[in-house]
Amino acid sequence: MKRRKFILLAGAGAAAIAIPVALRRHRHNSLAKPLGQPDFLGHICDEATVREIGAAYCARNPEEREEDKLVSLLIATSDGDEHRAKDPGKSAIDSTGVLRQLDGAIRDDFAAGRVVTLKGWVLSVTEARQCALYSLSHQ
Amino acid sequence: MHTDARTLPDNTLIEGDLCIVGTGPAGLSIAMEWNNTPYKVILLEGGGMDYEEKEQDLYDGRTTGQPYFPLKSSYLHYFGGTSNHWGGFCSTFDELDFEQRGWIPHSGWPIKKADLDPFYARAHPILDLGPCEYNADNWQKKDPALKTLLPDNPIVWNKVWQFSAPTRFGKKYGPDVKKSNNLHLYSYANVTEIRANEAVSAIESLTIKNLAGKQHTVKAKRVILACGAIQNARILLASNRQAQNGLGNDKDLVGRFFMDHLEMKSAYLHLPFRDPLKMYLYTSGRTKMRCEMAVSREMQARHGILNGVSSLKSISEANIDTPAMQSWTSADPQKNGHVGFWKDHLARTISFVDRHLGASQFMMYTRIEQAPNPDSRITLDGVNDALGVPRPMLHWELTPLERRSMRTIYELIGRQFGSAGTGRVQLMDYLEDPDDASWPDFAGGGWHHIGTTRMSDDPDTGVIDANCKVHGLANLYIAGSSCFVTAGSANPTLTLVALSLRLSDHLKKRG
Repeated sequence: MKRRKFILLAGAGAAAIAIPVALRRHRHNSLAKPLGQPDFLGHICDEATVREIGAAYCARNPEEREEDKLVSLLIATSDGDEHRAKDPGKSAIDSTGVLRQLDGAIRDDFAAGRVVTLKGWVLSVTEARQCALYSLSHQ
Repeated sequence: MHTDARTLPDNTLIEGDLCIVGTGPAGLSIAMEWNNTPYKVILLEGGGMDYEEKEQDLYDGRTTGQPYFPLKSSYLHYFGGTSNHWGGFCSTFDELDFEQRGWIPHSGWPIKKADLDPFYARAHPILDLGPCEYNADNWQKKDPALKTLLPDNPIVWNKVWQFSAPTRFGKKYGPDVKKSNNLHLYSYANVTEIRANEAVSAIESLTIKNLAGKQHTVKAKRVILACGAIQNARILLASNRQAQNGLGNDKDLVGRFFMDHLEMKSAYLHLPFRDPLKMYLYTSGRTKMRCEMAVSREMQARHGILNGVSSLKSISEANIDTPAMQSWTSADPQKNGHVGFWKDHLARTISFVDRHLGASQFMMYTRIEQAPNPDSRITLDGVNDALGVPRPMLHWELTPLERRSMRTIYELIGRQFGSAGTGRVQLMDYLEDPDDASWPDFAGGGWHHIGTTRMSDDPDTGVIDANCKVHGLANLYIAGSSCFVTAGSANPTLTLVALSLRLSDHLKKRG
């Protein structure tokens, strides 16, 4: 009984962990591409520049030099209560919503001084991470 | 009336109520204030009525330290002075320019902007400027096509500039001077020495010489030196027979704190749309006003930076721009500043296209004050000119604060564009480099000679008092940008004319 209960509980526990992880992984995979495309910079500079900026960010922040890590950071940024509060009707899981929220996060970064200067570009930390993700996924 | 001092009998004594030395914007602005008054005003011009090489050579000198323009070609020695190659850029100083800023050593004037405001308004017609209006909102109300990229906010604001034709003082005011009954203009009248009384407490006479070998004496109740920051300092330092260090130089301040504005390409502005940016772009001969982006007083205080502004030029036009330090290299002022027919034509065509179609990439140019620095200075060289006066020597010295300030200005402006979601700023490589002690080879000034006889109520910290009188000398006054304590972010001409009018009023009140 105890053993059975343990197995059931363990199974439930494993499922409790595995399902969000799987969902998270699915979410990561589906969001990695749109997250790695800085929208504003895409309008004003070429792909090579985005890659250079991304490489410069990775060189300066080696602890973030992994796609998963960057995706997590960007999702966390877009999931921020502040941004969800601004757009409560949207789930953070859909990419359009995430990108819209990232746009808000980028503006907030600038307003709060969360900026980095990379290859001369004065950028928000969020969009610099987007460049880094683009750079890593297009190596 | 006008007299060529070469035609006077040798050793002529010229006497008057007021003697103004120099006929540039400072000297002529004051002279015209005294036209048709009962006072006999002597106006001395060292050169002639037009450019002459041998007269210009009297202004030659060496430079050391940070590379500077050839001294001889950075100012002009004939009637109308340096207004003869003036660009016409005008804006008022900001209130903070006059403040003692704790983060900038040697800052702080003994006067406030409010003391100059009435004189700015009077200076406008003298310089052929439009209304004395420096609020961007009011310009926008008159012309809705003037749109700001960034609205004024607690970090960045739009500083209004106006453009003179530009006024050539000799051409504009020469006819009135020649017709005047009480203004006595003497050309070829170089002041080579100022003689004080025995107690060295007042000026007794000026010695003037010319290349024709004539020497004359000028006596006036009051004397105003208005020959520019280099020559004002040079004359005081060279008048050292009665005062070992030169007149007005008991505290070793004359010639120190030489400043110019740093004027350099610094960053790029990238917009996601094309825009003619009528509010910001300048076309020579067409533009009457524009805005430059400035950083608020609060941000300057918080970041401990100098006052500077950023102006815009479309990238295509900027790409054919040669930095002044690389194009203004001849000692002959007549050989500099010529763009060339085809390059000029190309620039005008690009400007025309950008004005109508707009552009999305812009070069950002900095104009920033130089930190007051006692080691940046004019001294006398060991070599004399043809009239026996020691030549001036400029040691131009910058500090890391200038570069750090420039970088911070663009980071702050970049933040504002990002926050507004309207653009991104990209610093040029040299500004991203954290070594603030070095400068790129195109680092240069704006031909603005400033600060060699600085103003202070305390004789220990300044050469002149708040009324531009030299400390310790009862009747010697200084006019021009040599009086400035700090250089501001604006070009000096409007402010030096305003300050000269203020001095003129002060002397009139004293009778």
